[in-house]
Amino acid sequence: MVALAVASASSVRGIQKRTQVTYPMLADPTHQVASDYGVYNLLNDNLAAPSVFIIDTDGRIVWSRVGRNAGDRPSVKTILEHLP
Amino acid sequence: MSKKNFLRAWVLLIIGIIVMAGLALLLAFLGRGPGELAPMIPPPSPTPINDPVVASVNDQPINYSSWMKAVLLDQVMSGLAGQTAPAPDETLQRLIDEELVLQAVPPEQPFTAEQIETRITELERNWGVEDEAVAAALKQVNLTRPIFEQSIGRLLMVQASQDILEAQGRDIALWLEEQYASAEIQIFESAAALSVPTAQSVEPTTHVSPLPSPVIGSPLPSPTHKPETSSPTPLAIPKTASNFILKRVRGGTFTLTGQLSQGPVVLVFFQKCG
Repeated sequence: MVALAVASASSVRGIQKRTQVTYPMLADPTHQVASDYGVYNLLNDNLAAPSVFIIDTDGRIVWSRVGRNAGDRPSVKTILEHLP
Repeated sequence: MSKKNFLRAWVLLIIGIIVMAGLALLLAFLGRGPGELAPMIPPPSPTPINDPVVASVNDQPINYSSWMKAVLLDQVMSGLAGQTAPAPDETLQRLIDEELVLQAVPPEQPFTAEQIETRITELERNWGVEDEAVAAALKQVNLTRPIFEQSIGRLLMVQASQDILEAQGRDIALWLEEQYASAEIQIFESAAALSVPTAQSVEPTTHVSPLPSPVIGSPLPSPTHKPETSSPTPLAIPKTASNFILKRVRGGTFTLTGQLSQGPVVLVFFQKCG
């Protein structure tokens, strides 16, 4: 799992310290990655819409969910069900 | 009294008797004596038999029909965006979340038709479709444009309420977790037994990925790949993952291709960074 936010490295570092998560957390301050994945500013907030992409080892996006609001996220169970 | 008037009087008398008898029967049916005041006729039940309550949030019911409408609209909107539609139980979850938000911050006034239309135009631009494609997708699941507009109006209200909560310094996800702990939320077992439309109905009408197709041996585009447009409203979700290189916040570099060499990747875009 990789978590990514359109934010500065320092604010992402802050949340990683607070949450102590072990997976990679990345900052995308220029929103290039979010734009590539089609999720930048969908909610008119200049951020990436909360979203999840499952990518198989061939680089195919086998499942995705893009939230329609800040709290709209799939459950862990749903993500696990779609893992290849 | 003429014969004509006599007959008229008889007819009126018979009509009067019939009316009185009907009234007496009605009063008897309602369990009241004829001397008592007629009771207020109760309003129609909000939960008719054919529209059961599937969930409730602090006693506010969510009916089957609302749920199904939301499921179908999710299918339409996901199809137009080129995404997988959420499962019906996820849609129900979203309706519960929205209800919590709207109960916490009731909207002051509904959005105007013009504001709703503006939002629809933005969505269509994001999806890369015209009004006709939306109309066709709605027709496919027997929904109408007014229902779609109503749904967008509700989404705008939820968003406005969320904005207020965020302006108060709340993290919506954490706030929702707190609400789940304190609110009275019921999901009735019957909801699971009710039939729901399958997510097959709506195919994306436009699914033009701005990203390159996978290439054998090099499935991901170059790390230096740039999007064709810097528009903040991209057309659709890509089918192929675009490679990227970013610095890890704890040092080092992250490359998607490198991570994929170890197995599938769950890429999560999140919003709140404290």
